[in-house]
Amino acid sequence: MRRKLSLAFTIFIGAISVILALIFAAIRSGLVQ
Amino acid sequence: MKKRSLIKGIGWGVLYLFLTVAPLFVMLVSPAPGQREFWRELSVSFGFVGLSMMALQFVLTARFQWLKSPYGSDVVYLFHRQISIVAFLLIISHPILLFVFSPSTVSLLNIFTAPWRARAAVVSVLALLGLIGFSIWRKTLKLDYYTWRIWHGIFAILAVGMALIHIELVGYYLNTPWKKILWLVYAVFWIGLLLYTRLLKPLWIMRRPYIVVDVQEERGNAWTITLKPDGHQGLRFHPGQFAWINIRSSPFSEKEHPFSFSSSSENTETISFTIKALGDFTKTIKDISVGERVYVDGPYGSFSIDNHDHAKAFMFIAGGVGITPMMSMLRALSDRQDSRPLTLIYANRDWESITFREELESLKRTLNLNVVHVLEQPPHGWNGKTGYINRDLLEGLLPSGIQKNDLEIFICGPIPMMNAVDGILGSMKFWPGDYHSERFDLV
Repeated sequence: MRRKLSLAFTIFIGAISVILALIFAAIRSGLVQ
Repeated sequence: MKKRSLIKGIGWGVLYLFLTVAPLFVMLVSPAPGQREFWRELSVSFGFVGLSMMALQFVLTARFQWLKSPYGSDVVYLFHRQISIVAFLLIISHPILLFVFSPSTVSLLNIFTAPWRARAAVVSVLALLGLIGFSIWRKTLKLDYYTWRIWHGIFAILAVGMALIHIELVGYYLNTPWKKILWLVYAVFWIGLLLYTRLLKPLWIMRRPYIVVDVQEERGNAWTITLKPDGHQGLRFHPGQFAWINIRSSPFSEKEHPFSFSSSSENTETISFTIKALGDFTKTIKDISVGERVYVDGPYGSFSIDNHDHAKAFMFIAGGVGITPMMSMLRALSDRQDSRPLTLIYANRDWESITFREELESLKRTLNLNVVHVLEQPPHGWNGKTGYINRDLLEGLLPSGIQKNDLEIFICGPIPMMNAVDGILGSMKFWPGDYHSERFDLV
């Protein structure tokens, strides 16, 4: 179970990182003000 | 204790997330450099987050017990492996996006003509490929564990070090002195961590050697080595924990191995480890002589009865040499004159290979202990349990009158056994926080 939680946390961190990277890139490039 | 551990576990998780994405916030802080295309910014964002994850990998493997205690060392190492794939994908996306949306940047791969910032990036990515490749295919490549550890360290330092140089040389997001200082702090922290793990910690361990005072053969092709601190106070541990042992080599070498303490934590004079002769290193344990010098780095791990003071009963499920941490816990409970009900389910191939068989019988006299042997190849006339540990067996051995929540279960043995028992306990609706295991299949 702890191992499943580790995988879930990995996926969560990966997903959050990609989403934030997309948001920040959109802001930095002026797509989103 | 459980609540505190949970809060600590969540706290570290939140901090990890914050540190991972922190470079993105630095990108936004005013004055930000001029605007660029979306895909270029996305490429850079992926690079920053990936690098952050890579740098944090050093924290995960730096053996900080305070960091690992809420999860268990094995889970931290598992997360280290899993998140490395995410970090790799993010980092490799950085150049790929550049190459796709700006094909002229492919020329930066030519290290003869490329500027130094690109050369540093190429070396970083190649080191990362080596890092991942050597770890995934270590056995296929027939790399022994020591060689792998040395290369793992070299590739990791190269990957992060070169990436930091790449950021410095590109300099786009280092457009103000304080941003430069921030990245410098990041680099200094990382280098400090390296110095701590590779230099200061080994030096500290070297100044606290142990001397072998006894080597004892046990049933089941196992050997117990007993160590005494040489010129220092020794260490205190919780029963069930483990330490990294370094025999016949300096603490600076990579030749160390994790073993559970098998002695009682109440014994402050000596410490013992019981090791089964399974691999190249463990087969040499029997050749250790009394008087030899050994280095011990520990204790580590959260696999201990001491983390569950509230428990009204304990169940230990061991397979083969997985008995060692259980033995440490049983011996400690006996020394503490603990009267709580204890059940040990102990799986072995046959009657003769049961390590600590006789001592377990004698522990029944001092503890409220029920020992249930499960034999794969029982002797003629055996009327005990046979085969493998299964749900019927576990259900039949749950202590009566004890709520599931008040029972703490410890599992240690071969990986297939631990996986099977984990699954069974899950299906029996035990809360994951009530059954514990630690695995040492690190790579």
